[in-house]
Amino acid sequence: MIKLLKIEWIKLKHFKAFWILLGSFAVVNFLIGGVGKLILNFLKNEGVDIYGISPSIVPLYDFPDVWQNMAYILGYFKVILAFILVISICNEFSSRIVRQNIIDGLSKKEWLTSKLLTIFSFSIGSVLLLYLTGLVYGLFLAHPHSFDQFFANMDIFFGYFLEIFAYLCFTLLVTLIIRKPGIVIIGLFIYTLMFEPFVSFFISEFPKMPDFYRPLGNYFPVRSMMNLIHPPYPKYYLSEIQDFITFKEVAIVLGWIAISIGCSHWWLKRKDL
Amino acid sequence: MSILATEKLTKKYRKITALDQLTFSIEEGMVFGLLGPNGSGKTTTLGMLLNVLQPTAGNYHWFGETPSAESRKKIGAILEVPSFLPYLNATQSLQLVAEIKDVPNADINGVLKTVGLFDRKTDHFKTFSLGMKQRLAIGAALLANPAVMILDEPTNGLDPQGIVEMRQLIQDIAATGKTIILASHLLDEVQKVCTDFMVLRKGHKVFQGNVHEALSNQVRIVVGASDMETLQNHLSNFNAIEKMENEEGLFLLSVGEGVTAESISKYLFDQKVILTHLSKKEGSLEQQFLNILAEHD
Repeated sequence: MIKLLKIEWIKLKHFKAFWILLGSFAVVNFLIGGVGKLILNFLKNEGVDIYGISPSIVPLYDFPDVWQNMAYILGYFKVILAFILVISICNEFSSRIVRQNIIDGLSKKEWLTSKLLTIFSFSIGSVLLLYLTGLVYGLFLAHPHSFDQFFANMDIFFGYFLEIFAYLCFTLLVTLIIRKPGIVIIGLFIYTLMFEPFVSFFISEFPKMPDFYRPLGNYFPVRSMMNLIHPPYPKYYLSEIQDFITFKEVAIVLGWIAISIGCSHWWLKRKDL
Repeated sequence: MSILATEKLTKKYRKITALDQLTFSIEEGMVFGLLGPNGSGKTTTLGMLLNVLQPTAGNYHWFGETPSAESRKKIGAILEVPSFLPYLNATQSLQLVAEIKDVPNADINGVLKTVGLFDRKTDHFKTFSLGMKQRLAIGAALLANPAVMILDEPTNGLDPQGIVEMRQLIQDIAATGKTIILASHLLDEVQKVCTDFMVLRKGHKVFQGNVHEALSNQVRIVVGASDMETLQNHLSNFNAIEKMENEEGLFLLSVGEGVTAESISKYLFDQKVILTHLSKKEGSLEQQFLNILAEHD
């Protein structure tokens, strides 16, 4: 394990694109945190009021909501982490490093494990980053009484971790099969942010769709991963929201993780390098 | 125990059979040349032996064991082009290999000196010339002090000076007693370095044997006299001569076993032919190689 992490570290620490993308993900984390405040201030300056209440008192940053508020939006930016994975793995294929690693005495399974460890580290790192940015914004902007609730809803972190881990495993599989960085990046971008949201929304919500098919929308890979963290904002106009994770949602995502890792292993094993 | 033994190793790409039921073995200490024209299956064979290509059928054993990542750690190999991450420098590239081979404390500086890259150790791989890349690859292969080295076309694409340096490097490594498998189409190189060789053609093994023995079958005797016509008449009566070729005004004689320059000279002397030229021509692997291929055409 330690050995595989060391190998990954040698590969990544000198890789510029890794630091640039990682840095931009961290910056995005911080910006996302600030956006809420900007919007509220903007609404306030425009003179908007909600049933006579100034928007600036909307408790976006109260504990524990601040984390779910951020995690939901950051869910769309996990593609940045996916890009790191795509670029570094495609780079390994094009410079024939995978092949050379195997020749030098790494097993294909170890190579795959090293990538999964990287994915695991990215996921843990993202959770820490979310925790820290949420904490900083919360400390400054949360209403003091909300500190009592600091440790409520900790399953948001588990959901966020699982979302990122599953999505990166899915990315790994796609990258192994296609191996062309440009195609994978554009494909992932379109699929994740446009194609699948549209298709799954269509299946779930299209008026003429028979009710029997509607739940199928929740089984799509990206949608099921996004489902781990439900949109929290409706609560600010007093709608019910789901701030917990159901067993079924987790099970679907675990299913996608198993499929991604299983297929990656199978593909790598039977393919010539 | 053989270092390497294969049994009916076969590789098919859709309709093409790149390698057909190859069975051979390599013993400890051999410097084994793998010869064959382009596309004869050399790299395919090595790729399967190193687990980067999946055999369609057949199997192989390294060190008498079922092949595994562990057995590959005892092998230093370069296959086709030298492969490193372009943004790593020489030292970092070798650190990566050392981690994989479970020798994290390997003597990287020592290896870089051996292959003549110590002065360039902080330069990125992408800034290296092809010859330097090849040498770095050999350095990586040497890192774990492997029992076996596999070198696939190590002089490919090198300039004449690079070829000389590479040949010297291979000879130095061979002198340390390592078992070496050298795939090449530079026969001169194989002849100078190898103890044994195998010839592949269109995925089939057409010859395997000892370099020395193969060459000793190849010795030819060159004779000349002032009266070439008489010489030719007498020689054609000498039964032990299998083949006679005229080359630049001299006769090149291929002779059967036991026939030496001395016996020919004596025979001609008895026939009262005085030779103006008598010499022995050593065989070349190139000649032997072409003969073998021609036999199987």
